[in-house]
Amino acid sequence: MLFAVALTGCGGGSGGGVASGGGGGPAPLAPPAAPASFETAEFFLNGSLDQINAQEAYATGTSGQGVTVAVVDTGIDPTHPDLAGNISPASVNILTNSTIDDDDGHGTAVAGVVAARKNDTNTHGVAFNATLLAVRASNITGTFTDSDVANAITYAVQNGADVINLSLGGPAAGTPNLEQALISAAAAGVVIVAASGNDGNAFTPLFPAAYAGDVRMGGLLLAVGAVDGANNLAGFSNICGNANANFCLYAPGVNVRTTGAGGGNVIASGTSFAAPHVSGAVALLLQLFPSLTPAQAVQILLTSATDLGAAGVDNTFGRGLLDLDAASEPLGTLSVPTSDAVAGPTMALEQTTIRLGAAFGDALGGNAFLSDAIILDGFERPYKIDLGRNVKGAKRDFRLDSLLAHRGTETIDVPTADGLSLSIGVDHRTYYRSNAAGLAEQAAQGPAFENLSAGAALTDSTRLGFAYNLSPGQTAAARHEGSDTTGLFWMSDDSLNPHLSLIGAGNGMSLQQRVGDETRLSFTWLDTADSDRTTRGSVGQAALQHDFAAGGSLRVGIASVHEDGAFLNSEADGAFGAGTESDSRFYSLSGSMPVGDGIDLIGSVTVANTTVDDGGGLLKNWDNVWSGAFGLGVVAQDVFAPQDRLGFLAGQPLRVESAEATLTLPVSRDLDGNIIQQSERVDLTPSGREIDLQIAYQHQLAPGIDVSSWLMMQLQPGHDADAEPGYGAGFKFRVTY
Amino acid sequence: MIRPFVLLASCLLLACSPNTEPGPSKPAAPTREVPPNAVKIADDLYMVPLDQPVEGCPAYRQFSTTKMVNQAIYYRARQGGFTFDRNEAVCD
Repeated sequence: MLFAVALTGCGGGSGGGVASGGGGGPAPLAPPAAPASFETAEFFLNGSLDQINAQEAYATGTSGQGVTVAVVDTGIDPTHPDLAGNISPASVNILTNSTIDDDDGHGTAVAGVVAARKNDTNTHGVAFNATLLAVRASNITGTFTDSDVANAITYAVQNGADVINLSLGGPAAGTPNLEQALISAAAAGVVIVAASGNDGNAFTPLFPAAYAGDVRMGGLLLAVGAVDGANNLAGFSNICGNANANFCLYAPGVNVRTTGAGGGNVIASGTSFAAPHVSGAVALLLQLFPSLTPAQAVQILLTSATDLGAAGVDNTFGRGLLDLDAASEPLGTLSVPTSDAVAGPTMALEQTTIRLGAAFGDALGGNAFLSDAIILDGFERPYKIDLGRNVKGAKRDFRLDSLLAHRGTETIDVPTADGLSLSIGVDHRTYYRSNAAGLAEQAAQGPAFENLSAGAALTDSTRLGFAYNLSPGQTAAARHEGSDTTGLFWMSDDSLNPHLSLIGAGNGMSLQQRVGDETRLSFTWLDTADSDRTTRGSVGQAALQHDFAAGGSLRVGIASVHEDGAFLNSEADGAFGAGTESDSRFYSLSGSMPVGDGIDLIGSVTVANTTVDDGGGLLKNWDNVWSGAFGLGVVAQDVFAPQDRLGFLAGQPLRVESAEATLTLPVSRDLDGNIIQQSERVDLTPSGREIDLQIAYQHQLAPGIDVSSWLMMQLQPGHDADAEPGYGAGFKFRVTY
Repeated sequence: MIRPFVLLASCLLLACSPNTEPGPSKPAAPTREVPPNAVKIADDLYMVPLDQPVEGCPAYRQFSTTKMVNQAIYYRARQGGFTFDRNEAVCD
């Protein structure tokens, strides 16, 4: 029984894992803007821009360019330097069909919140490059009749408005004319943003904001209330009310700095100045994501709002405070489109991963093409993402499992008749699981049946073996190292028998046939239904070994490994191609040669060709997948004491020497619902070549008591050319009784 | 001394106001009746003082019985009349 193991290990190196593609989440496709370009004195002069996180939207490059916001109000001062450049020539006084001059000042102030220009003077609006369609609908006293507002809305729709801002209201429902104008605007896909009113917190929105919950508006009419600079409900603001709560937002509406008629700034309060924040926000979204429908833009603002007051949608605050940061970020399920159509199949981003086996090292880690990919959010908005972050590398670390595998497992050799053998593995370990409180509780405790091997000598030269729940390396006749190095080295299989680690424990059989006294032919077959997809499959192996009379041996082997859901221990999932499987052929030549008294030179070289059957994902058409491993060492016996062993081994664990595949990525989407894909032939070889150097010494202190120790050094661990060397030391104390 | 006065004034205002106070649990739309304390500034256009000052400044809202009005908060202006520009407001 293997009783005790004591180990130390110190891993070095900078990785071996594939480097992630940088920080931050997905970003919209527009080129990013430098913070210095939007976090200006002009920006901070108006605290409300910071309050709604407008800078996060500006960082994406959006400014409202190309989006028209109609301001149905008292006109606009067309000479104001902050507005002049943004005013549409279609602007009009709907009452007189003449100029839009604003003798009240209200319209000028509202327009400034929407789209005062960013010109390092005074302050700027939310969508500072949007086009302002000023439609004056007020009479000489600054009030508005329903019919004039209705005419103004209709005019705005006819002249290309994407958004209509209504910083006005009254207590009574609109006339049929006004209602129809609003319904028609919504039917035309125009977003209508209306001030909730200044009657106080005891009242629901005035009209037309009170139409927000009216199904005839198709969800395109928003009611907007006001908060102060600390996000408290403004005392004058009407609240959302039950009927409008789902289409009700809040925005800054107390002491908002904006443009004043005649030039300069005014500081204004009222829901009049909250509403244009939302109008500007819609403009920013429509420019940033031109594929959005107006209804989607509205839904994004509603769902991304910062919850205020009672949790969730409530009668007072509705959806909450406008938040342009959250509105710019992906919302809903993130997915990777796998076809050329937005409406086509997609795979969840969180499931889209490649976990590369150790043989691939840091392959794909520095692939710049992966950073060109896009994903879609729940509103089918495209975001650029570096899919390299979803490529996980497997570092070949100082694994202790090979040494600890038998800890707590008792192997019982059952006495049998001559020519037969039977060994039973009994598990004495204690297993734990997390209980409901998250604490570990004992789940099972040995002894429990673990594995079984049985053998029978069919003839003097033929032996048949069976294995149940044994690893390939434990299965008879699967292993050959050219000399007796069993238990001597720490990590010898990586170099000398690389195929043995590709699948897990399973059931199988072996057959050994002696041909004369010096030649052995062996066959091994093992099949595993391992729960781990990367180690599920089967291995079949044939080997011919010849032992020379003068000492030493030579062995030729061929192994066929089928991996059910993996390729060289690598696993693709989601859009990368779930269901990828592979078949590998390993060709090996190994042997030993005596070079002195008790000293053997050992060596092994393995070459493998792998056929990858991709799962139809983004990474496909694998070709020319070759990998190799080698080891060269020397083992001396009786060096310092009788029956001790001293060994040196230099080896390269399995490394992919060549591999190509076609990587097809979604890189953009157009307004017709098409996904633009690009393909690139990618190289999947690692950048470096890991060489493991080991010195091992094993000594029997007393009968049944062994001591083993190792020193190990890994050069370019994980086949990563940039990785620092790793060092390890191990010590094992074994008592057998 | 000020607080009891404000409280008393608030009670009086509430007592005199139309029956339009449903409370947050049952809000209702305001009426079209001219509030008794409204200041007429034009034909069918009034300035209605708010119950609470805005940022410490006595404030008003526009009101009309037949038309829609803008939803700015107004203050008494130094130059006389009303202004929505806080810079020009008389806040004493």
